[in-house]
Amino acid sequence: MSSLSQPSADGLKVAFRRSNGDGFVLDVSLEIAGDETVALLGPNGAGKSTLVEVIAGLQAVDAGAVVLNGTTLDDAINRIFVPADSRRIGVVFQDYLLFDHLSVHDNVAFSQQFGQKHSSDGPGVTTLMEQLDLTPLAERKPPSLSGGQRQRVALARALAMNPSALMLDEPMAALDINARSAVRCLLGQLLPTVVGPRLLITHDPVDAFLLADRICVLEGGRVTQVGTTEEIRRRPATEYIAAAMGTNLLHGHNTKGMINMAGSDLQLHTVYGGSDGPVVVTIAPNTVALHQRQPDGSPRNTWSTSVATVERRGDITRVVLAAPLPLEVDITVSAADALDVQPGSKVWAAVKATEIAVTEGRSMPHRET
Amino acid sequence: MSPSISSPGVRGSGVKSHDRAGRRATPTAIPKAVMVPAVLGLLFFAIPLIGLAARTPWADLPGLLTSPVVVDALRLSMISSLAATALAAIMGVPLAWFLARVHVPGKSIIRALVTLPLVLPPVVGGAALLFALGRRGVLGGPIESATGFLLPFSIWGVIVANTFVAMPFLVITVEGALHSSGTRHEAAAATLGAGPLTIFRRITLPMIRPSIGAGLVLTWARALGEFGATVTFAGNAPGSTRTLPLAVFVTLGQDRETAIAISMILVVVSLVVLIALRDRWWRNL
Repeated sequence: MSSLSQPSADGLKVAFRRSNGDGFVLDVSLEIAGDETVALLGPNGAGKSTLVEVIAGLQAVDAGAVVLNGTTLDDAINRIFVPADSRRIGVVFQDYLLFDHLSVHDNVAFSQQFGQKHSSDGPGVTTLMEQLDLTPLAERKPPSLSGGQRQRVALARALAMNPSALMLDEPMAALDINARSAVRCLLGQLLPTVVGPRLLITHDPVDAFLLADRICVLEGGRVTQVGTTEEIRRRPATEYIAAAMGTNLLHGHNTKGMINMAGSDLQLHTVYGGSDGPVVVTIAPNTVALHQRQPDGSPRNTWSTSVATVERRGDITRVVLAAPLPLEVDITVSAADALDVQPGSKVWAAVKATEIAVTEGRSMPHRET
Repeated sequence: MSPSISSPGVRGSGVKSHDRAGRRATPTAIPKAVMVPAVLGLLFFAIPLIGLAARTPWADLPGLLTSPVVVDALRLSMISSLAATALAAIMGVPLAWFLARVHVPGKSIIRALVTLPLVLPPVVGGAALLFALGRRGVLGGPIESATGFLLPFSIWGVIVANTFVAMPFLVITVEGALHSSGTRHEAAAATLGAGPLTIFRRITLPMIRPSIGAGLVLTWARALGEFGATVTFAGNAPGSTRTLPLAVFVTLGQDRETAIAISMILVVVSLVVLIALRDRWWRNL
């Protein structure tokens, strides 16, 4: 946990145990700095939503504490429990939980009537409605909205109370692929402007890569790894993390399906039909082929490179390539023997255009080099 | 209803079920052993109504319905049933909320107590009210000596009897709606800064408004038809406690045509209520 940033009064600190009736125990210790987005990854039933509910004050801890910006919200020993309505923690629920009997405007403005509890230096309902493109929908009721529109209402409603911390529970899970990409871009712009710690539950490594500063992995009620995307991808602590995050995620710039890879002069052919601009490229380690000589024929993406590291993992060999593209490649042990891959040996890499997944994405400012 | 039954549980996957789901259920042969008693059962309900309609002096109906006996009973019935509905709303909705949301031991016993008037003979309910709130009752005596106010044998008695018998309809309808609407929207409102009372008023009540409406209409209809508890607890005094059902019972012996006219009012009101609520309430029974 090298990157646990400088401890300060700012930020969210949780360290608690919470068991529910049927033997499941959530035992979590996590810190999120005041200007940080942490992605929470984990399989179903890992306790991700329960963690959000404990932080938001919808459940109490059995032991331990929840502290936000130096204020104790929940402390089992000292018997402190600040109820949810006094915590000012914005939550965007997975199924939105919009109030169907209220208009879009009244949903977004719901928190405003409790002004005495909340400082009113937030962005304001009108600004948020404008910013999230909700003004034309102001008088509509939630049941008549599309999934993406409902998602934006949920986001605006949580932000309108000028929250001290923001929790997003799988904000893109219920959306189709187009809406998902739009919401992802929106979150990429919005999240850095939200003052306070942000927690984003997701199961999509691309979300974590694009939107979060760090990743926390929760499995079976326990944190199994915390770190930057790079750290977690390079050294996954569990099989689940290796499977979920063990894919190559790279920045690039799309021009008509041709992608200039960031930090190298390599161009990759893809079948991507999205608009030109920044993208995230996902290449699964088992879709890259390695050859001793330049392959002829089908794959259009071939380049000469050298091997950085070689690591045997059971039946497969994980090869990490050096410049121009630091890809992780999985090949069978017999293929590795045939190629005689060693650190430093020269190889040709090949990947089919159809194997490259591309996602529209605006990178976080601090990631741009 | 067309005389057809659909085969239960046809909800597979793939092309085949799509084929079936797209069409109406195919008519299937109905065994006579089922059909004959079913038709008998239907007739059993229909024949009394047909008998009543056949005996109704339709031409004299306007005159009969405006006679002093009917007008007095109608006025009393309206006041007492609406007042009972209002009382049920004030006490019943919070009671339903308590049953649905508060965790206390022995709640099944509390719920049995609340729904007891649904199955208890109304006469027994009226007698129990009399032992509790009558002149010599557990509460009625002290109340009378303190305030001089006596519930039984007044319109207040009618209202209390109606509320006792009818309120369970509101409680079970609203409690069911609270269970199915769940608590997650309430939790969302809490994270937005809403306190418990605000959540109850601004989120919980509006979300179950249709069920509250349905429950109130059922409660009112039950109160309007109340007989046993009313006659036991409030008596049968013309102009002060003789409601429509009591008037039917009294006039049946002396003035049959008036009894039939009042009965027609009650039949029509009940049918209208049940048809209006068909989607809200008894579809799910």
